[in-house]
Amino acid sequence: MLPRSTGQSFSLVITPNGEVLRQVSFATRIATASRDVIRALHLIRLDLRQQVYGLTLGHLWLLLEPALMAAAYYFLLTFVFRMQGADTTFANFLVAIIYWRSHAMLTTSAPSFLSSKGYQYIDQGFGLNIAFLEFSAQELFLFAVRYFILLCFLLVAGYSPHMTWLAGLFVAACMFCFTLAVSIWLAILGMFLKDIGKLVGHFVWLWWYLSPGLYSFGRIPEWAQPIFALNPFAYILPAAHSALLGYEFSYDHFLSNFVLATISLGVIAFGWRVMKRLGYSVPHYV
Amino acid sequence: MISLSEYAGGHRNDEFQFLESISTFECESALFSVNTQEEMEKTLLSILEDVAHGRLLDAASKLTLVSGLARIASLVERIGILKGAESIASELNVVSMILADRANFIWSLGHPEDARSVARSRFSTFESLKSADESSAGLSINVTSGERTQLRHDFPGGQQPSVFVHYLVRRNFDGVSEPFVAIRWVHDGANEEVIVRFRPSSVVLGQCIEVPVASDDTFIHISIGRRGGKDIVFVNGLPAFFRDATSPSPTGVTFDVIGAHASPIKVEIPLFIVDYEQEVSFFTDEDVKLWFRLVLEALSIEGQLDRLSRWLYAFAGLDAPLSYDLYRLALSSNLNESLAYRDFLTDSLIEMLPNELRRQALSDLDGKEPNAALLVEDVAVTIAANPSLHASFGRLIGGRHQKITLLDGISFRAYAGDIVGIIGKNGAGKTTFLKTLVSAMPLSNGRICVDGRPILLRPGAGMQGDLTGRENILKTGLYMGFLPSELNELMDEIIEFSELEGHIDRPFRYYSDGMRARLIFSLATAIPRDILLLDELLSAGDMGFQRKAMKRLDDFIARAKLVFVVQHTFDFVLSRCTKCLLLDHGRPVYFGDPVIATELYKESL
Repeated sequence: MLPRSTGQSFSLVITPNGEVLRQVSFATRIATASRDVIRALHLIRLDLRQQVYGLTLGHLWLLLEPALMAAAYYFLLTFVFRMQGADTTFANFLVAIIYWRSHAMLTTSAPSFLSSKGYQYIDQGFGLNIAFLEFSAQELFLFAVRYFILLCFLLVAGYSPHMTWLAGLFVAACMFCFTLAVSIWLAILGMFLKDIGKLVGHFVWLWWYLSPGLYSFGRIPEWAQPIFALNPFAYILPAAHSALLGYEFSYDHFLSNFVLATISLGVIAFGWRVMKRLGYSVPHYV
Repeated sequence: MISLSEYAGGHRNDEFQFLESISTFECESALFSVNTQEEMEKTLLSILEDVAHGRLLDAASKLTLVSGLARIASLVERIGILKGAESIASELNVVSMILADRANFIWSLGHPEDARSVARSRFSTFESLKSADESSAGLSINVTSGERTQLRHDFPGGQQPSVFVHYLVRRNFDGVSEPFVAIRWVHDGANEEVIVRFRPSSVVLGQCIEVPVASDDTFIHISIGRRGGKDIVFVNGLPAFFRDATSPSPTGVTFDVIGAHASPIKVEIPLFIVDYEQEVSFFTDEDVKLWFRLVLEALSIEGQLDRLSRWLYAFAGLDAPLSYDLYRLALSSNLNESLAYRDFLTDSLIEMLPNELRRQALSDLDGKEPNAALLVEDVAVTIAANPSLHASFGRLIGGRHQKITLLDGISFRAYAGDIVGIIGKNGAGKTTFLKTLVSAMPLSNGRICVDGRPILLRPGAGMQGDLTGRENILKTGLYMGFLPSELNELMDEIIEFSELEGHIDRPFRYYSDGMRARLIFSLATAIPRDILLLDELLSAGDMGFQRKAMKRLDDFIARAKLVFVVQHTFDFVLSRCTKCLLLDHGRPVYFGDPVIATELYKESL
């Protein structure tokens, strides 16, 4: 074919560097985003349906699973180990584990995201957006279920509902920002070096023990505290404990989590651009 | 002898006058003119006289003359006098029959012994896999299915300015139940390429140029050769194929018979082969150019775009610059209404313009062409042979990865209303190309511009075994970008069409293959999209469902702006596609007329 010039502008241009979409209006972007959210919610519903396929109790397991987990921890901490101290109570531990679990689930599965779910969706032509939205939103939904169970246990354990429990959701939102920032980069690294998927589980396990989930910040030796302070969970978990168990949410807690979320959002934005570009070339690696 | 062009030089005041003048053209050396039936008969009698005196070469020359003039007379009648002539196809048949009748006459009433002796002497120089029956003047062999017999003729060595081989073949085989008969180029004694295939009602040249000939038991005169870096074929004395010589250059030709019957049958093909070292044609180079332009003009006026397209393809190697008027005439035929030929014709016509006019043509076109819905420019895809080892230890310490090229050099445009078929063997790159259109396969070169986001529909896309049929409809629809409310509106219709009313709430994993295919097809064709990419979706279900599916697909395609279909059956490509892309090992072999594309594909099988 002759190289004829064309002054035509196209809505989508695909080059070796990826896709370039024609700029659309802000209103269109908002409309598209709201459609994506609705789609993601229904995809989560269907994913959960798949998870309970063939089970007699069906969707009830979504509540039973965290409830049984909480009950097991309650039994271990209250009757078996009989640990003493305000920072080692069952409630203290349960708050930490509910928050941590979502972080651990996402970060552990992130290295294989592009080479498994991401690749499948790209290969089918569905795109990376919906794959990542589904990946993260499902864990967000499960966190919401666990959070509900946590509040139920707190009520049973004698805690009263308080306005600061809403701040617990703010902390959760900040934690999710941080978790997604870490997950995106783990997904990127995992595509290049699949061995990261083997290492990250051990790293997350170690990270848990270096976070104030089982003990408070005050138990850390003074010389180690500056190092410990580098761990974002040194700000997330104390803030959650304070909001849910202590009925207070200080300015320091707010600020530290807000800064963490802001930085995380920047890292997510940059990471998302890199991941989208890598997502385009994923057949080179998978 | 004066050439047509010399004759035309002083007369071409206007096109019609010129065309009419040709009908009264007289050839000085041939002693006759053919503007009346009586004169035609006189010509033929003189041919018989030549035969009676053993002047076979002269007879052959005159035969081609008769054939050529008859065609021109016929064309002139069509254009200049417009007497409601029938299609060119039928006229070519008439011409062929005239020639074939006379050739038959030569063969049977002339000097059959001469013909036999010439044939025997020629056969002795051929490398024959089976010996020809000495009692026959032609080829007489026993063939079974798949068994091949070749009569090979090597071109003389050295730089020959012109080398031609002439076949006079009586087509007493039908090419379907009888053996497959073809004439092929031979490259260095090994690689072969079909020049001519014989069919029941035509011969096919250069794999895709179909020349209708009489369907009865008649002779065809085919001259094959090379001159000035061009591969040239004459059929019944008329130029039919002028292409730039393929590389590597052919070193000879073979007459090739492949058995088609399961049981051995005896095949007798009356065949007369002459390796003149020069072409035998009434046409000089200038005549061929003139002939080319004449037919181009005729086809443009009549708007026969399929024939125009093949005409341009057949004469792509002819150095015959067009006038701007002729270019405009060809473009002004109902080109915009014919999606199949628009791109190919426009590009071919521009390529045939002199350089100084080409720029003008391009600037004239700028902004006047309809907007393309899809632009594919020099697309290539190269990936690691084993992508999963991309980050292996060996790679990390500096090892190199072997790469494979899945697609290379694909360029074309498609417009709103196009239905583009993609054909090729397994592994040709059909699905890979569709994936590039949805960014599922990264380009290593080129670009793809799309007006709208395409959607790729493949068997099994997004379906999950643990979900019911109904849930799978919902989930796959969500992946495609639809909302549940939109999908619910289509749900009943999808279920009804897939004939799965009694099974739709069962898990997908318990569906049979046919049920799965029906559900996927029903879903895929229920959702309206602008740009659709259908990958092997048409093989769903049993025959009854396929008939129903084909009708639904028509409605579906009618709502879409642009459709790409990967399909192995030619029926769909030939009956519904406006264009066709033929791929082979990731490279585009042809883009354009579905008939040509499928012919080329069949040839490669």
